[in-house]
Amino acid sequence: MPTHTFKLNGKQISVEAEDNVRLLWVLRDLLGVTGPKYGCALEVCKSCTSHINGKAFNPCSVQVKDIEPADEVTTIEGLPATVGKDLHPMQEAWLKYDVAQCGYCQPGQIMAAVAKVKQARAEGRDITDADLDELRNICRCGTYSRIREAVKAGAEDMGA
Amino acid sequence: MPNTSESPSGAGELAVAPAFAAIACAYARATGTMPTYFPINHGKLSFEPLPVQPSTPQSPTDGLDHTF
Amino acid sequence: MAEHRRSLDRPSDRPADRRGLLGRRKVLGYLIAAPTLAVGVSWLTNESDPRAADAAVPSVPQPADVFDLGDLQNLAAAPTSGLITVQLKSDGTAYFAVPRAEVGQGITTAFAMMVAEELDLPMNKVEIALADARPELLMNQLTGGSNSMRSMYVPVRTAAAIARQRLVETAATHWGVEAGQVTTRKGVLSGPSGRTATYGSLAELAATAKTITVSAELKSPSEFSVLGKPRNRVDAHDIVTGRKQFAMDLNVPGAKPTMVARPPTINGTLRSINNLAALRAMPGITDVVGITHGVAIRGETFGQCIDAIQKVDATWGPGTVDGESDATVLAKLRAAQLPMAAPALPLLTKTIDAEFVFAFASNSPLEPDCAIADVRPDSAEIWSCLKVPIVAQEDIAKQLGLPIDAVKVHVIQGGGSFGRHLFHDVAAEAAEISQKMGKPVKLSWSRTDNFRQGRTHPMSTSRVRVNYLAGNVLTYEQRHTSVETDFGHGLGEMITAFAADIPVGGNLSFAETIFALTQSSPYNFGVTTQLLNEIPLKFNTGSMRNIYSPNVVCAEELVVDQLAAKMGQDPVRFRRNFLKDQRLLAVLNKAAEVGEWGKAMPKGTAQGVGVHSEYRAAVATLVEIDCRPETVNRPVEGEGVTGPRVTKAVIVVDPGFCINPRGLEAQMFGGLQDAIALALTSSLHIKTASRWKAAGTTTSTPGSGTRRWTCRW
Repeated sequence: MPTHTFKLNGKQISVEAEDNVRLLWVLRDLLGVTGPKYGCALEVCKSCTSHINGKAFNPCSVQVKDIEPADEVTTIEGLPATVGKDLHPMQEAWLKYDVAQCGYCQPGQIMAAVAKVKQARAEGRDITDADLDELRNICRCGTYSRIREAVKAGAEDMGA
Repeated sequence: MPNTSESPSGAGELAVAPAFAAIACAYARATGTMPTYFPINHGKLSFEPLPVQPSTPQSPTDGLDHTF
Repeated sequence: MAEHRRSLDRPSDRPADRRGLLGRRKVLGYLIAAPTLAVGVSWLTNESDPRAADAAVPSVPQPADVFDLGDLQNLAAAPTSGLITVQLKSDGTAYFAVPRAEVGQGITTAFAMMVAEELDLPMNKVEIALADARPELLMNQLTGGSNSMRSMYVPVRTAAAIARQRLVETAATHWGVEAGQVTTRKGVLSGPSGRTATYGSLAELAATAKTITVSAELKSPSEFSVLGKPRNRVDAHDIVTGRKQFAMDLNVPGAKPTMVARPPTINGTLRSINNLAALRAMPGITDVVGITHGVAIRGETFGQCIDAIQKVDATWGPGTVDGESDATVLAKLRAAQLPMAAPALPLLTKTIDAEFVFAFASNSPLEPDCAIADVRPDSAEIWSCLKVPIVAQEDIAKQLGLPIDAVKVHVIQGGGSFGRHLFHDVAAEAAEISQKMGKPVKLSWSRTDNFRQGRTHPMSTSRVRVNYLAGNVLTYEQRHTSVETDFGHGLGEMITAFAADIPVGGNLSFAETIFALTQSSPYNFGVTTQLLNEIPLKFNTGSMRNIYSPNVVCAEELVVDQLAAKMGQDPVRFRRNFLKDQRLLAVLNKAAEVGEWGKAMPKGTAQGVGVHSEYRAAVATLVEIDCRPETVNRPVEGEGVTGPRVTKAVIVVDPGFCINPRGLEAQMFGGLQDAIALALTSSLHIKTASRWKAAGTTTSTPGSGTRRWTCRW
């Protein structure tokens, strides 16, 4: 079985898996990293949203062979370390606004929100309602109002 | 609203019915037509449903084309 | 008769009953023999018995006014509530195992608040867990009907209050002072001359060697410092760090990923697997077995199970509704509608007749159904989100041919429920697979399984006929007709067991009984009847959040607006004139005020209102909708449908006593999102040959408006 190596939450790791296995299952079933959730494995619900090289992506729809040794994969578990704190400002905002209900979609929501804010910053602007409309992570509990408030607050605390 | 009792009521399901009704009533007033088939968009599909077999579709492989 | 509607103004809640409002309420419980302090409560001695309260109800209200679904559940819970215990550990934490399921609704937070309040303990010293299936609880382990707060509010507080009192007495004895000289604050006891002791340090001393009855006093609401104040969820930190564990996240040794290839029609059966050897030889696959409704595949990863599903070559038997479609079901519903029965009316009476159709709608939560099963020759262990774990345990034991006590059922927190987790289909299937494979399995249904083969809120029609004359409504008749809803998850058992206590007559079915216990018109509309009839089609149905009310109330309120128009009245004014209940009137007035009812709106946009009372609460909603062509036909990314857009909503709720305002607000937000989905886009489409064609939709992003995402599963 092929061995794949990449950086996961700050550590270089190796894992044996068939080439075509989607990264979500490599993370969850083989590596025991369960923060990214399974909701559809069709790149629709976005529950598994994580970061690759700082950008949001859905590991349910990426074969493990397409991950390069130099690629840095960050899941919700590794998010705080990217800012050298116990909690990322976006996670703090999520707590402040008591966003979660059942919580199933929230790791993906937070990862998507952080990437969306960074994307806006990279374009030299603050996050707008139009940006928030582009977030497509599904929350079946319907926490969207608080999600929007929290993303805006988290964006302020993320600094420039 | 301020508390009207010492006893809590059930709240988890409470908002659905009146909000559903309010939306339907607002739709009727906005369009002049009372909706009678719900959901209002039921007749409109904007996508081709996945085939019924295999019962669980294969996952995509193009995830790296949609990063942001 | 407005002031007598017990659904809102229950006798024991009335201001006339001043006992609780002015003073502390005395309650009874038990100190239970245990190594550290443990308290149990029996609420039979503390809370009014619904049967006794019935005597206070005058007039001829509808059944739900005098005895609603929650009362039935309270009645069923009463004899066994004494087994509910709060334990104080020697580290100073209070432990309470909730015989309920947490699925996002926030009950663990609310229970922690109750314990913290009465025990004078910080929230972080209260540990709330979900109890395993406990057969001795009989029917007091069903999470549904928005009943958890109503049924557990007094018992849980009682247990905590007794624990606090016992600690005070223990400290007093220990220090040789009067109990009245000992105070409690934040988990610490304080006595004269600066003495202090933590709860934990006295947990063993406070324990009793034999179980004894004791009494204590509950705090009066004016003394509350925790209850009634906004609190964040107790599991929020675990959620935002990805640490909260759902069934699929559990690491049960040997329980490898398992999925099922399923037939093309609803409830189709497996006749044969035609390529078993090839499937078993696929990469990562460990086991393949045929089961009742499919081909079960176990492997190293769920991804490889999905790979194998693509290759399954099987012969399928027919399902249970293969010839049905939206159109055939609707025709059957119309043929089954009960007749109207309005009495003979004067010649000048005018009539409104209307019929509404509600499509099938999935009640699937975001977390796909998941269950872990480890079935051995003489025992079994199950992990799953189950709202009725006792029924699951009984059924699975029977299915496996094991005694009930050989089956251990663990209740895991769920990623949403909305009615879905009342059923244990997935746990039972996991048990079937584990038994056939002889290995532990972690079974996950796929998203498409959830929509195509999972439970659905059934299609229904609601016919309404109103007779009115001058400014009065003489009769209001509503005939709700539905594909049968499966209540075979415990509520049915409650109804059978307590049939004699329920004030609805005759040989009503479970569904008819539940309909009668939940539905009542809030208006003074003269002779009022609301009836249900069901047609026996074997879809996989279940109730969805709020069971019948969304459809019944939507139909009623649309007709109310019609009536208002015919009488030349504004919808809010009309409701003010006809509402029976003061609490409903109050929330309506507040919603109209906050939502600026009647303000000028552009053509193609409008406001709408709806009111509802249930579960002893009253709520009014005012929304604004935008139906202008540029909005309806707006471009959206991907495969979403567009359509009208809800641009604003005001929800005013009178919950009686609000335990956690922040949690209540969250439930209102969630309910609104469900309502938007039901009104605009969320439905299942049944095509001939029983294909679930399109399906799940969800709604998103209020605040700036609402966009629907239609998903292609």
